[in-house]
Amino acid sequence: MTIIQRTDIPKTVQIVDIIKHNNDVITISLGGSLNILPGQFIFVWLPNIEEKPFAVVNVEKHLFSFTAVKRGVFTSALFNLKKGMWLGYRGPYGKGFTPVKNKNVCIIAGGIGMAALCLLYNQLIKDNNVKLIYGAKNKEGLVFKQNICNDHLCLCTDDGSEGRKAFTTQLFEEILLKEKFDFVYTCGPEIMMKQVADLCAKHNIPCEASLERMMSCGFGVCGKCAINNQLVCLDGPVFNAQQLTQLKEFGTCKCD
Amino acid sequence: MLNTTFLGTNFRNPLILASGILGINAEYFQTLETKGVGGITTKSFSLKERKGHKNPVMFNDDHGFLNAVGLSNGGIGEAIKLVKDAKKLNVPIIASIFAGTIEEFGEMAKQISEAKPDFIEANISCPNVKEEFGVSFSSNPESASKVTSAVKNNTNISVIIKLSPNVTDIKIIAKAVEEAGADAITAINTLAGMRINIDVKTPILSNRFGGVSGKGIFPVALKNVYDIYETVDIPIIGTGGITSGKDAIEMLMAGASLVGVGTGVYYRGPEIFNKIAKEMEEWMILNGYTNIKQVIGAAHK
Repeated sequence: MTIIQRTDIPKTVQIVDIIKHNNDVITISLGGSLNILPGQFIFVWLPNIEEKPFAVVNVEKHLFSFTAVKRGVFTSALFNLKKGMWLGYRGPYGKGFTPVKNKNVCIIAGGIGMAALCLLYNQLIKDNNVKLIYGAKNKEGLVFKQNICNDHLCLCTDDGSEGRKAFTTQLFEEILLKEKFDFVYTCGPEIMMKQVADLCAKHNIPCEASLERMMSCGFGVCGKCAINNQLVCLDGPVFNAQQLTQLKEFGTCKCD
Repeated sequence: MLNTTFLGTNFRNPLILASGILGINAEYFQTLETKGVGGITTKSFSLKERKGHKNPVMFNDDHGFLNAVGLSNGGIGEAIKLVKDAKKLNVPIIASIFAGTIEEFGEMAKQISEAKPDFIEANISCPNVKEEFGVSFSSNPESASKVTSAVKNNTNISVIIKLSPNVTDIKIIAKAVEEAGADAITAINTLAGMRINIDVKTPILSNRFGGVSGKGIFPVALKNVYDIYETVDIPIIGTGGITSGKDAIEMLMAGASLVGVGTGVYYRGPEIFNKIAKEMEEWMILNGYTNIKQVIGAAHK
């Protein structure tokens, strides 16, 4: 009988860099090394405020970064932080993406959903042909654009302020008419991911989507993130096409 | 081999999901059923919806597991729906209730009975809401007795009272709730505790204090159950730090009739129920036991 010894207590590290992309989006880099797979997530603890789950957008030898959009008390407080201050984190948690090799792949990112796809993108471009459809409400929402090679990128915005004035799913449908993909990865508003999954099913392309739910523990104890008979923190956050068809709730959540 | 009866209800095994763990979604209960759970305790519900505490509400350190969820729940309406949905499963359902006053405990018992849970567990011992509710009802025999009577007087369903280890002598409380008509006792709730992050000089739980569970509290739980078994005649659900088949056997030997598994889910995942059941059977076969009832209370001579 094996019982794995685990600890899941917030570990405090210092902030080494802060990038304010605009008034609403911030990337914070923490000093420390993190062994994380694309699609996994961490919890970030802001002492005396709260703790929230985030995707990791960048990992280097002695730092890792997460990106947040200003929404409530926690994310607003992030904008008051300075270099050298302490933040806690724990994780990584969850099941990540399944990176393929030597394939034609398409990544479809909606808004801040791109944050959960950054590590995957960096890994996939090493040995795949990658197309990245990246959409947002407006050009301010395309915060990761400069990290992506233009040859891979198809941009769109709801208001047409950058790229095509269209939804990512429209671009995807058009591209599917002339290109074939072996694998699709997506993260963004759930309604978008549902449409992507449906298009993939129609064209018989395997796909994976990263889901989001309110969460407390991240390790399968509190039960808050249950979606039908699965836990987003433990069984996800990345689910494959077959799992997604079993999740009746998928596509109905507006939590993002 | 592991099937047993508890207050006249059949259980395929004595392994109960403890309250507060994964207990909010009836569809997820199905997953637990496939993973071998013997019975399910819902998370604790109150009359009115409660938001609970902010994150962090739980974490595990080198010593044990801490939580202060703050009894977040959707209120009685959601409780009734959850229990009704959960009743479609083939394992018994224990509805956990709590309240801030004795009258409200009675009202909760009355309303949750509509949903016909197999048992009602009155959580009179949550250590994480003290600032709101003051000293818990389980901390003295008079209040423990009054709550038990209030719950009993408002339902025909068997009532289990969940006791706190954060008392001078749990035997006195156990005796009081038995005399007040409790049908069974769950012991123990979590032990009061906290951790401070030294870099930022800040308690980690947003509530500052919480309840300690996990492997570290197993000896404490065992002693409490052993003591209660010597004191009362009603059956006991032994809970606290059980992570293996041998732990479960030990808890039964101390006098528990059923065994609660909570934080064990953290250490071994939801598969823990099948794993413990298998380990219990293996141990029983090896040691010549044919029925789990031969084990219960076996350590009392």
